[in-house]
Amino acid sequence: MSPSPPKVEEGKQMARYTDAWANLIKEVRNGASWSGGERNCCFLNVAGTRFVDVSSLSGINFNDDGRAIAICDWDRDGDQDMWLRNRSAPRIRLMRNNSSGSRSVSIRLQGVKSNRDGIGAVVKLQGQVSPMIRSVRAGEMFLSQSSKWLHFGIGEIESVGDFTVYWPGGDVERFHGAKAGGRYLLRQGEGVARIVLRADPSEGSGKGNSVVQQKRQSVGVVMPVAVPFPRLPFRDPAAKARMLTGNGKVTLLMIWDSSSTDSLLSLSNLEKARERMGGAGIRVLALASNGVEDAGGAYEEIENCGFGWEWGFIRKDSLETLFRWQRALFDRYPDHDLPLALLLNVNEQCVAIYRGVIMADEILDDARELIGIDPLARWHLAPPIHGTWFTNPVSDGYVRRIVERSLGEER
Amino acid sequence: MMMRKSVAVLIVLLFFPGCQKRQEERTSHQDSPPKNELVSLQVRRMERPDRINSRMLQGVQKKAQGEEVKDVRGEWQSERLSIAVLADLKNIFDTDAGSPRGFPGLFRATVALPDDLRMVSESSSGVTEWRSIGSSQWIGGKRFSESVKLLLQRFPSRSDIKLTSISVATDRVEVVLIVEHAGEGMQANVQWRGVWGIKSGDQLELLELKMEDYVETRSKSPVFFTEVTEQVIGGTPHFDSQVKGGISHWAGNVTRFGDMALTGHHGIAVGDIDGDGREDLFVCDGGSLPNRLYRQLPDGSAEDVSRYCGLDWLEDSRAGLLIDIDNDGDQDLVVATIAMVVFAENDGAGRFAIKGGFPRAQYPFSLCAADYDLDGDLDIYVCVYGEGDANSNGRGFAARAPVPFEDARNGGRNVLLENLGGFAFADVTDEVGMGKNNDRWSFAASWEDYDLDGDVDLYVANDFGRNCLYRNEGGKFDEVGESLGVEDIAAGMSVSWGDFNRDGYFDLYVGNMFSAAGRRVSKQGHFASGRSRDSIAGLQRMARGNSLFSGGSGNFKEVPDAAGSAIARWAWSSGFVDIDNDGWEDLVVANGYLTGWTLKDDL
Repeated sequence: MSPSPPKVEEGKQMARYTDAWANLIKEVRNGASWSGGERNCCFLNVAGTRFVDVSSLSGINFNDDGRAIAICDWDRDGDQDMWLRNRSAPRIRLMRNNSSGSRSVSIRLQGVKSNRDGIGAVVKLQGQVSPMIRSVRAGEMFLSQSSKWLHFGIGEIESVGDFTVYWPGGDVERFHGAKAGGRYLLRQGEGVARIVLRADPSEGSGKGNSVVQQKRQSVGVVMPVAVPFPRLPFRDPAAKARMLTGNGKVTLLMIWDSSSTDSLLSLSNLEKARERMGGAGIRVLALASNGVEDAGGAYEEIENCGFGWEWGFIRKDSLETLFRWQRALFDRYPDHDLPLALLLNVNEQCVAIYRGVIMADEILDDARELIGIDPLARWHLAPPIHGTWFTNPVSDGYVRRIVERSLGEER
Repeated sequence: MMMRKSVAVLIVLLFFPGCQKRQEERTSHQDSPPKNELVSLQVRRMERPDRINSRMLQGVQKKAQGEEVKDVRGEWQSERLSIAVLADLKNIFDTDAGSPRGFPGLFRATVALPDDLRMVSESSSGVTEWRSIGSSQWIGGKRFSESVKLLLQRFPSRSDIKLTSISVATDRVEVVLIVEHAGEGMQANVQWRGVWGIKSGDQLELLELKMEDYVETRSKSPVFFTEVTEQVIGGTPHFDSQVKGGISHWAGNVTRFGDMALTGHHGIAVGDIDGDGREDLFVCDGGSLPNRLYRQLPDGSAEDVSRYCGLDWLEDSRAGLLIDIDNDGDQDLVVATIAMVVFAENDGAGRFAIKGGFPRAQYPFSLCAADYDLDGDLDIYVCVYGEGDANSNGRGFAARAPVPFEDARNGGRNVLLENLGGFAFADVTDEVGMGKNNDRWSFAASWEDYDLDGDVDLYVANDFGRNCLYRNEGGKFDEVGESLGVEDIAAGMSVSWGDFNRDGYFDLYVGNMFSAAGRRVSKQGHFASGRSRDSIAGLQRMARGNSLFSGGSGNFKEVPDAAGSAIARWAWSSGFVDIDNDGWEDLVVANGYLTGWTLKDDL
């Protein structure tokens, strides 16, 4: 990788450096690992002198791409559990701590003069040998917020003395009454630790886990915006040069290969649904990626399944263009597996992409749902899992620029 | 506090990570309170089913076929040799390699499993630590093989090898390596020094392996932590899709126009959203995947209430904070989304309503809150990583690369948002003195009153160079990172405060990137030739690993080698937590950058 220039400037060194970054990112988008498969670490504090690696003993040393850690006593049993947030699957893990919980005190602050959460307050417990300080924080480590409950592990010490709270602003207050194994609320100005009951009587809400009934069949990738698709040259079965245009119709463009089983299944599925799809105003164009040398295989398969839709051959350079176009849409470069199908609207914009076996019912569903709708509706229909947006989709102009840039780019 | 209604209505029309182009349309008068800089937002909901079905779920875990990946390491002879050395070492130490091969006569080594282990510490949780400096007696290849066999019998689960330095002479290569061995209830970290002869070209022959350090830890209980994810959220409707689907999958199945990025920087926040005394969990997710709120039930399991609570936003979300913004006794929510920082009010029963968004902190990362001006409410600091490129509307490194790499000053502008009450906020960054050194690539920040003077100070971890420490003096800040020696030139990712040595002063643990390859390459003689010595020293620090600064009365002292916790890999969240209830704060580190899906080696 080219080294960075000493300062931001125009010129060759800067260009080489920026290119190096771009290349690195391309490698990653193509599937290369970059410090991947690393295991989480855990270090045990040896009486304040040093840390010893106990990663393998900890139970948290998964080789996930870890990101965030939120620490809390989830089950309120007096020790520190941990939520882990990953880039890789599983995206979340809850790690239950197996310590013996009687050897701790949990403290939650409530500010009156100070902010209600008591954030910024420092709490001190004068231990037998040395003090223990904890503070209430909101936001630490990386993209993480841990609990506002403060945790004081008390090891072998038998009795717990007073807690001193240094409230934001400098007020110092002593609280007494806390005992080992308890959970306490310290309210500003009260001076006495209030017990917080461990067992909470409230019931489950029954408001959760709501999910909209799943009835869709589609495994297509729905575009959040209609994406312009380039006009590509192809050859019809009589080897005549043609241009891929919509002909003013909703078009399912399928790229297939006679050597792929999924392709042949897809041809057959589309053929069986010819009447229904035709009735819905959908045109199908099936372009084989077979080259000249194995073109025979394509003719054979078309005949075998009695394929009555339009078909032909896609040129190698056109296929490259199509893949480049697809790469522009995804942060992870998709594989070049066939079949690959695109649902194009009458303006020759792509509204959905299908990989794997093409199912006519999915296409019919999507054509009904995705053709002729306004941009906001499309924006809401695209996410694979339902939710809500408070922002609007990107502009058509932006999409066009991204697509054009990708088509002009070398790999 | 009452909500102020006179907020100017701005409709935000357009947001996008690739361009962040934003058009604002003023549809109302301009007589809003001058300092409130939030825009109002409208959440739109559309009833529709998921697009997930069993066919798609099959694809979630699918390993994809990859393309040819160029090996970028070839440019460095030391890296080519490292690959050969690692291959040899794998033959010796890999638990899957079977019995180690025999070695030619020239080879000599010290014994692989020392017999003079002595216990050097014992924790109250029953973990014992054993050490040896290894034997000084050389043995031949055959006896070495036998002793490796004993070692691997003791640690059959796994061995990871890291080459932390390599020096290349004309006829030989000398390396330092660390092997981490794992077994049942015990592990060992072993440092070796190895010498290879260069026969011809890049052909190597192992000559010598000498153990320099051996640390073994044993635990009576099998593990500190047990995973209970399935028991707790396994029954939620999107567990199989959203939790079990990694970002490598989603980034190939959700478009960039839907704001899905491959890097997978999505955080979590813990808080009690409904005041029932049980912790709940808010989870940020990428664009087109809804954020999640898991509400804990009495039996410890959780239900997914994101939709019911009004938090199932699809915007690419980086970090969330559950805090009481309006001091009314419930936990409100702040979320750093890629387009803006959004504020939502809790109605007390755990349902949220968006109160507005701050749009001038695009491409944010971590958030942290505290009452910096001691007016009784919480203010919010937002880390903004890269500034992007206005010309190309681009984002990320391809649009703007950090320059210079070891001290980049072309990063984003972090923002301090002062709470004005009534869910109004103002950007006060510059007027309180936080504009200083505010042009770095900030990943994380955390407030702490390190000088114990009653107000909170702020440490900011920056990628590509120096970190900042803003000392609070009555609501104004001085950047004292350099003068207090905590700039910590490195690839900073994480900030954690704690008191590891229990001297009553807060210490600082900074998560940095550790890269064995980076350490190797940056120590080569011709590395970064033409750069100043300072610059090269800075570059060498970029792969150093985590740092620990021990706090005193208003000052800090760096603890060498992070007191044994420096090598924590490509570290993200790195923080203090007392995992065994002995009162001493331990450390946990989440790490790893991007695991690819091709079978190619790591970059």
